[in-house]
Amino acid sequence: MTVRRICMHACGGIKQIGATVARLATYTVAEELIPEKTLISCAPAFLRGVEEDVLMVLKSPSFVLDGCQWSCGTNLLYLAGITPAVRFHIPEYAEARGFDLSGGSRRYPSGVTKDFSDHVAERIAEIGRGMMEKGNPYKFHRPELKMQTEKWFRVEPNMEGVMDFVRIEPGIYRPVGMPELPEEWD
Amino acid sequence: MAVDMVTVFPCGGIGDPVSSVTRLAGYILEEDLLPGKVELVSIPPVVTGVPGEVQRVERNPVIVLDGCGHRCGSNALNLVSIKPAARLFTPRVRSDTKHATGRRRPFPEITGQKLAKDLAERAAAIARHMLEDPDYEFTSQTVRANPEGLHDESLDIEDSLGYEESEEIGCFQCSGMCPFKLEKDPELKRKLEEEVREYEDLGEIEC
Repeated sequence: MTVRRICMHACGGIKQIGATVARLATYTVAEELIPEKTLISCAPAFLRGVEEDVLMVLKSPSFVLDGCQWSCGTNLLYLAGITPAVRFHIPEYAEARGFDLSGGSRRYPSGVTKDFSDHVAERIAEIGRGMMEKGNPYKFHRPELKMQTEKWFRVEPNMEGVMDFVRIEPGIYRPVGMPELPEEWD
Repeated sequence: MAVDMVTVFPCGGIGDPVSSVTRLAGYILEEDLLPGKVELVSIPPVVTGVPGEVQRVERNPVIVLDGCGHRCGSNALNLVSIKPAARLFTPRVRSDTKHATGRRRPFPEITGQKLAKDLAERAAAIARHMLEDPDYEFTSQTVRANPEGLHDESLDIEDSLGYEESEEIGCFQCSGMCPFKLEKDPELKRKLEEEVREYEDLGEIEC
C-alpha cells in the first residue's frame, strides 16, 4: 500500500541525551515539518494496548530513533513482530554530522540538544516526504502484531545478530527486507 | 532490607503533554531534590534487558508516576512483574493543586512546570521515608514477563495492583508492598520554590 503517513517511534529512555534528542526531533517533525501526516508512537501506550498506538505502527512505516547503542526503540517493535522502515542511531548520526552532544542537556530543549534535534528532524522529513510523494515506488506491507515475551530481557548492542541493516549513511539504517528508501532509488 | 536508592519511573509517554510533565518531575527529583538517592528508569530498557536497568527495578523500590488515564506506567511495571512501592496519579494531583498540564510538549509551560514540582515534592517525601525510616521494609523482586495486559487495555490495572489512595491526594499504595508515609518537608518546599527555576520563554534556558 502507498504511504500516507509516517509513524515516529522515539527511544523511550530518560537517562541519556540521545533520548531527549529523539523526543524533540519527533515533536519537530509532527508539529512543524510534516504536520497532519506524522503520527507519534508511544511505547508504554503501545504495550498497554491503547488502540491508536497499536494501529499506527501497523498501518504506517515506522521511523525509529534509537538514543543509544541498546536500540530499545527498534528492539521494542521487533519484540512485537514489527520491523521499522528506517532506523536512526542518534549518537552515530551526531558524530557524523559534527555535533558534540557531551555538553548538552537531557532536561531542557536548548543548546546543542535542540540544534541537533532540528537537524535530525529535517533529515527525517526529507526521507518521509520522499516516501509519501505521489507516484513513488515505496510500498508498505502491513505487519502482523506478535507477542514474543520469550525474547524479552535479552539485548544485543545495535541489534547485532537479531536484525540486519543496510547503512544508508552514518547513523541512518534500513533493515534488510524492508523497501528501499528514496535515497536508494535511481 | 535497607533502602539506599529509590528508582522513579515517569510514565514514559510522548504524545500527551502530561508525559513531559512527569518526565520533568523525574529530572527534578534526580538532579535537584535527591541527587544520588534517586535514579530514573524507563520501561523499554527493562523489557529489552539493558544491563543494569533490570537489576535497578529488581533491587530498589520503584515509584511510578502515571501521567494519564491509560495508566501505562503501572501497566508497564505489571508486564515485567514489578510491583510499584508507590504510585502517583497525575490527574488526581492536578485536581488537588489546580496546576494544569498545559499544551506544550517539548517542555511544559509554567503551569506544567509547577505541576511537575507538585509531583516531585510528593515523590521526594515518599522516597525520603523509604530511605530514612529503619522500619520501612523492601524485598527484592524478580523481573519476568507477565503477558497479562500486553496490548490489551481491557485489563483493570488499578484492580490488578490493588491500589489504594493514601491520605495525600494522588498517592497510592500497592497491595503487598510496605506502607509508605508522606510527611511534608518544608526544606523540600523551599528548594522547589527557590532553587528550581521556572521558564516562561525557552530561550531563557542556559546550558
